This record gives sequence, C-alpha cells and structure tokens, in this order.
Amino acid sequence: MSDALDSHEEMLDLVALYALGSLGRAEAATVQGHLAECARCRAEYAMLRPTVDALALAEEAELDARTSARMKRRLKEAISPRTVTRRATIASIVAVAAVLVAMWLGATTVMLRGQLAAMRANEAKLTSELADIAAPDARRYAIAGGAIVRRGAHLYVVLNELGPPPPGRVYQLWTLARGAKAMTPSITLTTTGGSVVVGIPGAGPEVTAVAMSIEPPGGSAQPTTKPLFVRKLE
Amino acid sequence: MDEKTFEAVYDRYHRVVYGVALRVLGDRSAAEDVTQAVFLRLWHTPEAFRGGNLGAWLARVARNRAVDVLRGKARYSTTAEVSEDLAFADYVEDEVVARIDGERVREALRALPEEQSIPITMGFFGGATQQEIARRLEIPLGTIKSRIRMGLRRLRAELEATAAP
Repeated sequence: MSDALDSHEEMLDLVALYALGSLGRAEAATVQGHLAECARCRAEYAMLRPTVDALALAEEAELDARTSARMKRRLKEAISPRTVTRRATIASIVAVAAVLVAMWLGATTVMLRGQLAAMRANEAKLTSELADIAAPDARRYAIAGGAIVRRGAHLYVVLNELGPPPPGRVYQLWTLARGAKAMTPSITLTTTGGSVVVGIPGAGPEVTAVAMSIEPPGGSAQPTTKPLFVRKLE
Repeated sequence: MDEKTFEAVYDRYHRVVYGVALRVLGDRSAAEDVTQAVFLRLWHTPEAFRGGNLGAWLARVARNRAVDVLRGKARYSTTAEVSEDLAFADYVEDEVVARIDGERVREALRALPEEQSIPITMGFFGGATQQEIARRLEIPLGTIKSRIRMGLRRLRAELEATAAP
C-alpha cells in the first residue's frame, strides 16, 4: 500500500515535470499514457499546466513600433498568396506565363481578364478551404502525418510532408458511404509531394470513412494496393 | 484562416511569442526568427491548434522551437518539450490563464524560494531536462523533482489568489 502510494507520488512529480517540459520523449510518453488512465494525475496536470502557461504568457515583450512593423512585413511577405502553397505558386506561375504568352500573341483583353479571374478564383478557393480547416466548429480526425477535417458538407484531407508517389503512380482518395460495403473512388492527387490540402468533392455527411492508396495514373475503380490510411469519421 | 484573421492573431500575440523566444535565447535576432517560424506554422497548419487558449498554445510552440534552437537542433526535438496538444478533455480554459497579469506572475515566481524557482526556470526557459537540472545544481534527482512540483503548486496557489476578482 505504502509502495503504491510512494510510486504514485513519484508519478505526480513526473506529471509536474511533464507540464514544465522537462522530460525526455520516452518519459513524456510514459506520463501521457498514465494520464489517460489516472484521474488524480489528470487533475494535477490540469492544475499545473496553466500555471506553466502563465509563466510563458508573462513574458510578453515590449517591442518598438519599427521592429514590430518590420517583423510583420516579413511575415506577410512569407504568406502572400504567391507562397501560400506550392499549388498556388504553380497556379500563379502558370497563369502569369499564360498572360505573357497571350500578350505576345496580341490576344484580346478578354483573355487577360479570364486569366486574372482564374487566379482570383483559385486564391478565393484556398482562402475558403483554410477558413473551413481552421474553423473552431470543424471536426478533425487524426491520420498519420495529418488530419481529415470535416466542416458542414465539406471534407478535407490535410497532409504535411507527404512524400512523392512512386514513379508512374498517383495518390487516390476513397470514400465509404454509410451502409455501403465497398469504397467509392474519389479524386487522384496530382501532387509531387509536400504539404497537401485537398477538398473531397461531393463528400457529404453520408461519408463515414476516407482512405488513400497508390494507384496507376487516372486512378482505379477499386484499390489495387493496401491503403496508406483508412480513417473512420465517427 | 483568412489573412485578415491571421493578421489579427499576429497583432494580438506576436509580443508573447517574441518574448518567450527572447527569454529562452537571449538574442533579439534569433527571437525574431522563432517568432516568424511559429506564425508560419500556424498559417500553414492551423489544424495543429486543437482548441484551448490560442496565446498559451503559441507560447508553448515558441518555447519548444526556441529550445530546439538553443540546443542546435534544426527540426526534430527528442528532449524536453512542453506538450502542445491538450490531449485530455478535462483540461479546460483556466482562470489563471484567462486572467493573466504578467507582472504578478513574475512577482509570484520571484517570491518562490530559490530552491524551487531556479529549477523551474532552468526547466522551462532553459529547456533543461530533470537530469540536466540535477547535474548542474548538484542536487539529487528526487529532490529536484519534488522541488519543481512543490514550486509549481505554490505558484498556482499564488496566481489563484491574485487572479481572484
């Protein structure tokens, strides 16, 4: 009994160190596992973690206006629509190139307007997707290296650092509708890797699972390789 | 998150992020780099923030990133991270964080006995593990653990008292 109490006291000490960020990865994983099972330690953590947060928040620095403005300008340059995602960058380059070619050929301003409208539509779509993904009411389902995000009738796959598909192959998404016995093919991804945010077209609330596999170009009618992930949305 | 919202978040919290990074690194230029990295992470992967107090989350990300820089790690850390996920449902918005007053927090930390405040400061702002703290202070590991826990509990009590309306 006394041993059990001593050992729990030791665990409570570790919970404090976990809240402070002074445990190695392996020790932190042990504490995390324990917290999932122990209400007493969870209560201790719930008390100590905000205390550590307070230590950090108290460090709010005074910054002179010039430094503040310079830092903000630098950040805004980094997140300008041209660099939001590789997709946006490529789309912009393609659109600008098309505009230059059209000008060289003496094409009409209608062509220019069309290209600019396409660029704006792409930007608006990205903004709308990011708003959905970051919305507090969005539901997030973790997958390895990312998440499936559902907001209203929209469903997104967000993958960070996705490796390129094998040569001559593409990634393909699959959805499972409620009551269905087989996955339905969804879109293929034209990505060559990197960060991917993709909306699954027509994926309404009846979709109860999402999967991704590697398929031949153009996609398959049913998965031909073991899915990289299958995520239930429940 | 649209650019306007992101800008508002930046305006509200960049001083906190910068302040934490500066405290850890002691170098203005490096702190600016960490600030940039933290907000770029929020912009590119907003889903990494899973609820709770956004300022506190950004501060934790800043602390971890700054500690990585301090330890000379480019990207992946293997030691001494503050958990950035809430992970447990019963961790809710907390009065101590909601009613934060920087000067009172610093005062409460100063009011702790040094045997508690020094290990806490070394752990959080120095990014030191429990073993490193024990070694540097030449104090048994068990003593360090209990001093940190007691210190945080005492700090909590102080903050609760000063946060009272």
